[in-house]
Amino acid sequence: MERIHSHLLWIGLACHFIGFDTLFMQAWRIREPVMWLTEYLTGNRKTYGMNKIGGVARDLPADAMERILPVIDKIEAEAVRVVDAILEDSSLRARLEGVGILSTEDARAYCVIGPTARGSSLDIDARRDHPFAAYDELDFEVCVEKGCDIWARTLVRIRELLESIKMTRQALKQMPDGPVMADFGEIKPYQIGVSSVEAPRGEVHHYAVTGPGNRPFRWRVRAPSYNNLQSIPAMLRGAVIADAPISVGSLDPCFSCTERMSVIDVDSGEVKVYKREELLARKKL
Amino acid sequence: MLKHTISELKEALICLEAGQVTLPYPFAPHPPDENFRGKPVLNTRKCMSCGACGNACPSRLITISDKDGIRTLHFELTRCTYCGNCRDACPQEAIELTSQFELSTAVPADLAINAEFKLVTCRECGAVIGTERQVDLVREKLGASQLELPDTSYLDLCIACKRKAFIHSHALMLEVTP
Repeated sequence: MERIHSHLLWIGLACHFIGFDTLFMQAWRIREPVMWLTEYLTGNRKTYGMNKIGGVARDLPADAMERILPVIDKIEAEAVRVVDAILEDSSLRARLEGVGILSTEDARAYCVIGPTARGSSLDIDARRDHPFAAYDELDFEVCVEKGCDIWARTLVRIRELLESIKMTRQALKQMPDGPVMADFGEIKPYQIGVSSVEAPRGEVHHYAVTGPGNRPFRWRVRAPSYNNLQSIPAMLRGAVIADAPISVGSLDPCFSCTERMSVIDVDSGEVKVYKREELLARKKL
Repeated sequence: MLKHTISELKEALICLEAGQVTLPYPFAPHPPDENFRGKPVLNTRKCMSCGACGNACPSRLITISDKDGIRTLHFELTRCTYCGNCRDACPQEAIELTSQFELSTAVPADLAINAEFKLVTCRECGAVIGTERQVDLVREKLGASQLELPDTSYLDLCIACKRKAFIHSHALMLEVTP
């Protein structure tokens, strides 16, 4: 679900960056029913509050099947039509082909992940390489393109979008009955856990240290935008300025995922946001 | 060239078929799905300020403080993620997640809930036992139970004084005598 709406969002945004607002509007029109669906399934459009330690917070509603299937059928039909129209669009193709080139060697050297890596013919996907959740029980194709340019990244996302719709159908069909939460008692404090899952933009890594009283002691997330943004210099070298927005945009960067630092004093409840200079000054200490 | 024209025509057709899709919101209300979780509200008539919600809250935004004979339950909703864990944890079913989603405000205090409860102190030593509501609930439950306790005077004693009173009670003396 997340991937479907995220890729539709990206297609819309990328088209907006290059001034193709027609597709921006249409992609977001197709996306909106997904948002309504997540609101119905989880209770919110974006902050689902669904994943918990040991399972998920709530089971699917009883009529989930009847509500999800027609929506994804409709999205698929509409997405296929839009994709069919834009694949033959020579102006869009001329704008994206050969722009923002990230060679396979560079992609590997900069450790890019997700659709950015798969657009540069790196065949990596955490869903297949390190199966988590139920991905090992689903039959899916990892979409890899050899173009190394923004057009290739677009194709990867378009194919993944359709693949995700198929996977949602499979998952719904194979959904087992049973409890949604595992029963676990006290977790030993100061144990380290690391996990990696494939988010729409690439692998997300979570690092957690358990603390006393079944509470986390430290938790750190490495979002995929952090890896992917490192490849910007390679992508922009020798390019014209007009290509910069779509090159950066082709990574679907989430700056808020990548850059954040706020310190909360637990005793006084005071929140302090560190600025760049302050952080650098602290590093020197 | 022909291919390009065809694809442009296809795009135009998609747009024409879709027609107007923008909803009239905010000029007309747009109610969210019935499963939607919006701003939490606290029913202060049901709440007994036990703090289970604060324990369950992943953002740690519910705090409890005792001051001058008043217990204050404070919700700092600027950090709320609307996960609903507080509602699930509440034994009194006092928390409800409403469908309110238009929460933008320039005043952070608009997104705070403060509930004040009168505290009961121990009649012997003056230590805090709990809130009036909590003591009343215990009394209510004892009244409804089949135990038929003759003496409920210990209800306004703190745990240490309760222990002292129990040790000196006649019931215990009888059992200890050889």
